Amino acid sequence: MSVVTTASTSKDISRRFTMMICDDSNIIRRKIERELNIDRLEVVASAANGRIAVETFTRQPVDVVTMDITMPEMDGIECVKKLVQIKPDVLILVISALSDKATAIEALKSGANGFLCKPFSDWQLTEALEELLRGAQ
Amino acid sequence: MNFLDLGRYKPIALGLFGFTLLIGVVLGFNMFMANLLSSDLSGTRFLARQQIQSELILAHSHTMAARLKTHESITDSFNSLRTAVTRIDQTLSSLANDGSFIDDQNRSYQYAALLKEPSAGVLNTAMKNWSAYKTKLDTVLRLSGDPYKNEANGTITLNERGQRLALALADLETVETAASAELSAAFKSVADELESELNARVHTLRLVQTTTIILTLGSFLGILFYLGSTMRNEDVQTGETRKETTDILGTVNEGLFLLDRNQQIGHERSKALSHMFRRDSFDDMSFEDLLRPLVPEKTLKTAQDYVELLWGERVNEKLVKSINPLNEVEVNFDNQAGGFDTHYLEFDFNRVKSGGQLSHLLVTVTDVTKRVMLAKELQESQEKSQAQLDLLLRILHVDPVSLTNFLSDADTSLRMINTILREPAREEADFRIKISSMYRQIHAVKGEASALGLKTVDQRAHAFEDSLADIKDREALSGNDFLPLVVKLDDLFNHMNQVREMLSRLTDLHHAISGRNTTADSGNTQVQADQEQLDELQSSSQSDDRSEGPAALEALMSGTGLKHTLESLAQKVADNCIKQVELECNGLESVPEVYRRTVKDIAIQLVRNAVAHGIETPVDRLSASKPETGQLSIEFVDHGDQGVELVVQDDGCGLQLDRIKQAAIEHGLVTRAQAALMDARQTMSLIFRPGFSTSDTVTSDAGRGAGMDLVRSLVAEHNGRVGMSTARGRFTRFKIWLPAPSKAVAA
Repeated sequence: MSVVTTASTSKDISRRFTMMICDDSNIIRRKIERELNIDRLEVVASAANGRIAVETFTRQPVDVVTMDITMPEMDGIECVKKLVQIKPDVLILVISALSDKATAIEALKSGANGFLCKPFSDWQLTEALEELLRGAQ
Repeated sequence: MNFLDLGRYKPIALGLFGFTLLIGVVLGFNMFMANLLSSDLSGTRFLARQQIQSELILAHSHTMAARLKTHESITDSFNSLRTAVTRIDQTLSSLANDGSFIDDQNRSYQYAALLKEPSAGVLNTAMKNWSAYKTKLDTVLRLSGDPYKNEANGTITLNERGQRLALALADLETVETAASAELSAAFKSVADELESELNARVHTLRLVQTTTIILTLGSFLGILFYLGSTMRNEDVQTGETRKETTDILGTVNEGLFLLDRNQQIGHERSKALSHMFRRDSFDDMSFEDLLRPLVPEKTLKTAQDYVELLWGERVNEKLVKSINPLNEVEVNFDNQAGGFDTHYLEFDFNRVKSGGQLSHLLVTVTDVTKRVMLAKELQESQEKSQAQLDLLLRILHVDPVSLTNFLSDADTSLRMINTILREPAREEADFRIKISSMYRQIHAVKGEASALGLKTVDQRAHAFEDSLADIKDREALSGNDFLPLVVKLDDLFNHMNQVREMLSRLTDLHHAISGRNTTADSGNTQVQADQEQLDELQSSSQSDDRSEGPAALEALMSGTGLKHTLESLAQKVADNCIKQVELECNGLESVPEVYRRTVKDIAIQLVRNAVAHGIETPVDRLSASKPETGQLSIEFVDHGDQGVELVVQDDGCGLQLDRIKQAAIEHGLVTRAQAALMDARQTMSLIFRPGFSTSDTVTSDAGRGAGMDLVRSLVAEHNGRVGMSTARGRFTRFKIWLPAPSKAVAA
């Protein structure tokens, strides 16, 4: 799979973004990929835990990442920190069940940009990611 | 900002510019006038000096005439005369010609006024006189050169030129005095004219200066007035704006305030805030100060982190609203009645940007109590409906005998708990006993409800257990700690009543259906089926027909039903204990309505105790030369006005006083010393104490230590009496006396 990373920082609304899905649930990963309905956002990678996500991101520094918090090997909070270190302008949307707001806030303090609560509908996902991209322009 | 874009300062700038321009023009004019006046002064002085020139001519001509007589040199006088004549001639000609002249420092002057009368006439006359005068002067001046000659004898005499000069001077002398005076007068007249011209200009200058001062003062006052008026207008406008802001902040229902980067609350706040937080002053308060008394420490910390997050640039404001930890905060405020009011507050945060930079967070606090309460009510209502439906379905599926027994047992347990709660206690140990006694009771109810699948009862019992566990963990106990239990117990009682009511309705429904069907068609197979089911249910079969529940209740409510229940209970307990028992019931049909429940509850306890503790196992009975099957009899006798009597007797092992004492000591009800002093009657009375049990383990039939205490409390409620007699190895008999139904005390 080839990765095309656009390095442009212009405010061009036609700018294309690459995305990685990071979630230990295969169902959630497929759900996000299936329900994602934004033309300029292309899913180019997915990871089942934080460690794989960091490895993949190091090779392919994508523009947008959706991140689960509770994952084996390396959790979402740790992973967010590492991804931001590698690429400070990466956009990270934490997608997690809202069992503990403090944990979600911790993830955002680590460098994530937004939060989407599980379970989510397709339009909620699209709206959240659109909002995330708007913030990048 | 553009240099010329002065905004609201533009009028002031234009005013100042005009003022400065005016000052500049006036100063320029003053300078011009001052120069003019200076020039006029010089001109006047020069013309004044011209009067002297005419006198000089007179003086020089006289000097020359005198010197010619004494043969002295006349050269300097001659030259001075020429100069004076030339000067006067030039000046006068120029003045008469165009009103101008050039002074001795070559500065030129011109006065139009001199071309007008009377100066023009004076000058013309002077010019004419001068022409005549000058003709004679020119005659003198033409005779330049040495006027003397040296004679042979060494004397000096006038030569021809000298003689002619003397004659010319003599001729001049005839007119010169008059001419000089005229000339002098003419120059004086012109100088006077110029002086009056000078005075006129001085007057003009004074006028201009006065006007300028007035204009300057006027402009200054104008600017002052404008500034004052503008400031006043601005003040009015600011005041109106301020009032509008105050009105908005005073009217809006939300609590509004700004938070700065240090999480300090701003000065502008809405009035609703005071009402929401029950405080008047928020001055010098931080967000933490505001929240700390209201929310748990963890929520406070999370809220501070959340606010901190919003100050960061990375986070998208709209994408973090869902994790706002203060979106529905429960807060409690003390009220005047000594209790507290619970409110739910919603905090919303919005970034405020000023000049592209994040300057504040706007915090909007909304009292969402009504919304939350409505949502809760809705949820409770839905849960209640669902629970009732579940309950109904469960009841329809539960074995009727089990349900009957459960309702009976649970009721006993709950009453027991009620008794324990009401019992006075002061010591810590008493409280601990209360807790453990209640714990046993409620745990049994919970277990049975759970076994029967009565989820709603199970949940309530569990909640009660949780409260108990909470109290148990406390270090020091007081009576107030038990208050929440009363509420939960009341809830359980109500719920159990609901279950009974539901059963009652099902019974009614069953009756209605079966009655109608019987009337309509006695040969209908459905009726037959229903009737069969009813019969089956009334005999407490294990059928899982859905009509079991109502039938079971019906059975429970009637004397026959009580007999059946007691038989079933005796059998169940006997089976559990691996014993055999035969129950004989008499007179239960005549239990008055007012005692139905009491008699049932007492009989259940006594039957259960008799089988569990009185009747021996078949092996023991055989070894004691008794029949394998134990005999248990229940008799109800109505003595009319003398009251009613319930006698429960078994042919078991009798009360074992030693064991009772030992159990009482083990349960902490009495000390060993107290036990030693107890007689048989006192020892027997121990079995009525709460928490007393001779069983080591808790089963559904024994070990709770609540049964006999319940009997005692039920009897006491009706002002009844309990009598008991026992013989070791032979029997135990309980006699319960209750007042006549007409005198019954409502329980």
